[in-house]
Amino acid sequence: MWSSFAVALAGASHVRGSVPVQDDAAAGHLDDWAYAIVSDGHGSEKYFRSQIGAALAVETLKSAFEVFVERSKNVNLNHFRNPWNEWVDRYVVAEWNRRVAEHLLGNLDWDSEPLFQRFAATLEEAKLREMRGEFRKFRAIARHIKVDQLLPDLISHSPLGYVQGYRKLHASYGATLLGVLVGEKTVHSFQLGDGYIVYIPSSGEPELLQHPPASAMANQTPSLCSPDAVESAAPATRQMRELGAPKAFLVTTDGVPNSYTDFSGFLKFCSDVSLDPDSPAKLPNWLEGISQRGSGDDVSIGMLRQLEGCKT
Amino acid sequence: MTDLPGGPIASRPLRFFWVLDTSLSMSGSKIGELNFAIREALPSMKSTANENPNAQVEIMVLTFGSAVHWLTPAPVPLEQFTWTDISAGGLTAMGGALEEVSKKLSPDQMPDRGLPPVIVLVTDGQPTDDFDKGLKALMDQPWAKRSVRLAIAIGQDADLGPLRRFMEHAELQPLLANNADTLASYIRWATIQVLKSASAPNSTPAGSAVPTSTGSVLPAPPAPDPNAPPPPDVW
Repeated sequence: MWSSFAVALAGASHVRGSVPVQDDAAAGHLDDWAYAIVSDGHGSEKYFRSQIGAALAVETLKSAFEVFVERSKNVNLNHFRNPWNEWVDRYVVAEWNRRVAEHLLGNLDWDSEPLFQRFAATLEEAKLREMRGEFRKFRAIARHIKVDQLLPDLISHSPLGYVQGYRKLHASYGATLLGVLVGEKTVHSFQLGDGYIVYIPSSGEPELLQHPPASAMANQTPSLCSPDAVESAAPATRQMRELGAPKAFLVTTDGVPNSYTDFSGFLKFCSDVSLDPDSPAKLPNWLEGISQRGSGDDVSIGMLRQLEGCKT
Repeated sequence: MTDLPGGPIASRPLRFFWVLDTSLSMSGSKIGELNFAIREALPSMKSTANENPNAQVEIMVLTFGSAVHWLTPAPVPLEQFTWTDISAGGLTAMGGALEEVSKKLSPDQMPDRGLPPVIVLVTDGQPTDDFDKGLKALMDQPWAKRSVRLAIAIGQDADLGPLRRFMEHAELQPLLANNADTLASYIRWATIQVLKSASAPNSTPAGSAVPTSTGSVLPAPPAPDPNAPPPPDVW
């Protein structure tokens, strides 16, 4: 059995700027499986709904885990070559887009949102006027359509003038997403964007469960809001026996590793946190300190540990 | 510190490159005003950097005339950086300058967790060497692709074509400084507003075109004051 823990905290720079946390995180159990998920909303003014995008991303991956666990009860997955990898990338991207579209149609009053107002304040007058025009066109149409008419694959073929407005509003939810689902024999993971998924073998040093994309550097990252999101998604499946009977799994957004002067310092963080039985209680303070002295970015972690000696 | 788990923690490095034309045509008031503008902007640049303790700004200065020359062979922390006046003479090896900057942006020279570097190119002329070769060498570097690149053209003789290609920006054009006041205001903008934007930890989708002002990676540059008196000197 695994204990599960997740936390997402506003980074020092967001606290200074009175901006809410734009990461999200979740961890828990689904039958005999345990999961941990984090998402990093892009954060700058242009992505003024990215905290919502991150929350929707976490819910989406959790729903993918639920579907997979349910399916594994009813279908003999051994009949499939790789039942997780062959399905989850398209599911996650499509489902996140659907949830974004649903949220957008139910929340057309972005003008009154403080983060939108911050975004508007960064624009030159002409640019702001042009953008407001696009948004107005989108809103006029959006009041009369349903979620299924607002999905990216349909809208990309639409001749209507609201497409530009829609694209910018859709991008405002931009976020990364990564998570792990741990079962008795297999471990399934998903990564779209920067951040790390780490496991701690029963003996030996922490290791990456999968490598982040090479294009993730200097604050640029693959994103759920990009047109090539499905291609950027990296699902993976590993056998538990290959991983040296792990005693812990951790997923983190990039705010944590970017705070360490070298990568070995971050891996030591993973090891230290997984070994301390009281780490769930200590992590909020630790992460606050790490962001203050380090990257200043929002900091999130999801953690699964073998239950023996651990506090949930 | 030992009270936090893991190894040593520190703010993220941000490399800020000045790439400055010191060709013969810069002699006289242009080079004098450039020296003055950068020297005057430094205190504000330092206070801006102090407002964000999560970024460690490091300065590199490269000049180019007939040859290229690093005033700072290694990155200098901003708080220790002082300005030394530069002088003009020679041709305009702008391509060579970009090639030289590309070497400092190679993955083995850049910190893995660095913030997007800022490159500010200031010139009054046109390249007299192979600009295309230099630009290609620069843009072959992943760090350069993710950098914030600005060009300030001094005077009417500056060739804006190469500068536009250097910036490769969807919305922002090279900034044209025709007098000392405008040059000073653009230098201030680059050292304060641009630095502030580049040092934020926010992320952007990879592959999205270059940072744009609508992405707020770059704030809008200062507009000329319509009520300002005519400048005393026009280049």
